[in-house]
Amino acid sequence: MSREVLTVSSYIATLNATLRTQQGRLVGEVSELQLYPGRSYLFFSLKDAKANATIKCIMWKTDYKISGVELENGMEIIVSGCAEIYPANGSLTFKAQAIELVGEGALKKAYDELKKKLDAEGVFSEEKKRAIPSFVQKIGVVTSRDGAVINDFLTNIGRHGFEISLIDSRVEGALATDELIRSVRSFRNKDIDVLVVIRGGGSMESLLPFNNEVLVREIADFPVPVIAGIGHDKDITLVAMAADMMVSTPTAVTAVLNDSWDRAVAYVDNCSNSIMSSYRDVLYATQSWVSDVMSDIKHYFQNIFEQFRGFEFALREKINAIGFRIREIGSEARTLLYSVTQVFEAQCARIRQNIEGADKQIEINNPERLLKLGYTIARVKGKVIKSIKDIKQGDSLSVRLHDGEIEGNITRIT
Amino acid sequence: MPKKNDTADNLKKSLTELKAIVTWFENQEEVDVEEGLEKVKQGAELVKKTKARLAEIENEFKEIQRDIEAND
Repeated sequence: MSREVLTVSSYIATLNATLRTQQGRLVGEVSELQLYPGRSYLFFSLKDAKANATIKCIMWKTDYKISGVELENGMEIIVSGCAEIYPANGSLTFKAQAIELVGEGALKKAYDELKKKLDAEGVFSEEKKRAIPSFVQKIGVVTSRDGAVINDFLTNIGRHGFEISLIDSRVEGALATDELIRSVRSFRNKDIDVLVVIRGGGSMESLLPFNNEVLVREIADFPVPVIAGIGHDKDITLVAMAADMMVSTPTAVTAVLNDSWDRAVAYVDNCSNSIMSSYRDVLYATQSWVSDVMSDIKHYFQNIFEQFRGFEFALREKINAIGFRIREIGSEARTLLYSVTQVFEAQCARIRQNIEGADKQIEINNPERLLKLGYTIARVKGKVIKSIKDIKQGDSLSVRLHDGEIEGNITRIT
Repeated sequence: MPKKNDTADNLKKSLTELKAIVTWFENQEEVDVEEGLEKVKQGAELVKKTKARLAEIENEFKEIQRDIEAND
């Protein structure tokens, strides 16, 4: 035993530090309930009737509200929390953080009543449920980091580039309720496309947090769609009913999230095939059209070609005829030319003979030849004298010999 | 490796455009070959783009903390 002297307050503080480590769940009957409207706390006593033991309990109203249990005197409950000594009067008080109803019957009754109430408010209404968006990328997950659930989820979620944020949260027991609510609230201001709340199946008692009114309302009012993958034994949890989509396993949640991505792959393939097939049809149609047109054109030109061949034949005939005629004319011309040449040459020969005859005549009659023979040409005043009548006595006479001239006067005319 | 920052909106836009091309072919009574070829080219580009985004891309996983003030 320490001999150190402590003040009352420091001793109580030491005790409280130890008491805080002694978390416990106490079952008992509620008595001396004091709700203190307007205050932030309430009091009640928890009585163990069989052992004649009682402990005074204090609870913050926020925790009381979260617990979702309406306390009444005589009700049997389980409280979770730890004891504390109040320094002002030294009394020991159990600080209850959560309250649970005891027994399946009571839980079922509370479940049914809350379900009825929320249903009447339209919290589960189909109309208010939002569609899970296509191509979700940012996923907020609320579940426990330990255990098979998150592993199942991460194993089965497709590799589509998801950004998955997890807030680790207890998912079982009375104290889980508070963590779940704060986790969901934390995601309210995070950039996520969808919120996923998952846990494995269990009894109604173990799923108690998921039938909590405050959590149900958080889910119903969440700003982006919520998918609940909460296993259940018999009754669907109220959180799942308030979610925009509920499935029963974490793997089923991944199937929902993978769906649009998986379908898109098939859709793109279908579109691709459809476009190619349509265009192939267009090409075939065009090819067929071109073929028809070609056939028409061929037919049309065939007629033209046939006509042309007819014309060509006729023309060739004409050309041949003309050629023949030209050859004929040529032949005629050659014959004619030959005749003309013959005639011309004969004429020429005749002319040549005439000329030669004339030449002889000229030669015979050449005055020069006669002069040489002794003949002379007498001229008076340059004029040849052919008669004595042309001259008179005294005229100057010029006599031409073959080798010169003699000049003299006419002295007598006989 | 395709980039993830090709957002879901872009992907949806690409799919819508792809659908529009399919519908265009379905609604044309007589498709002009050149115009059709243009559409096929656009479609092929979109298919390439969307397939790149739809290819397997690793996920990111991180654990974040609850906000302290999240409890009213």
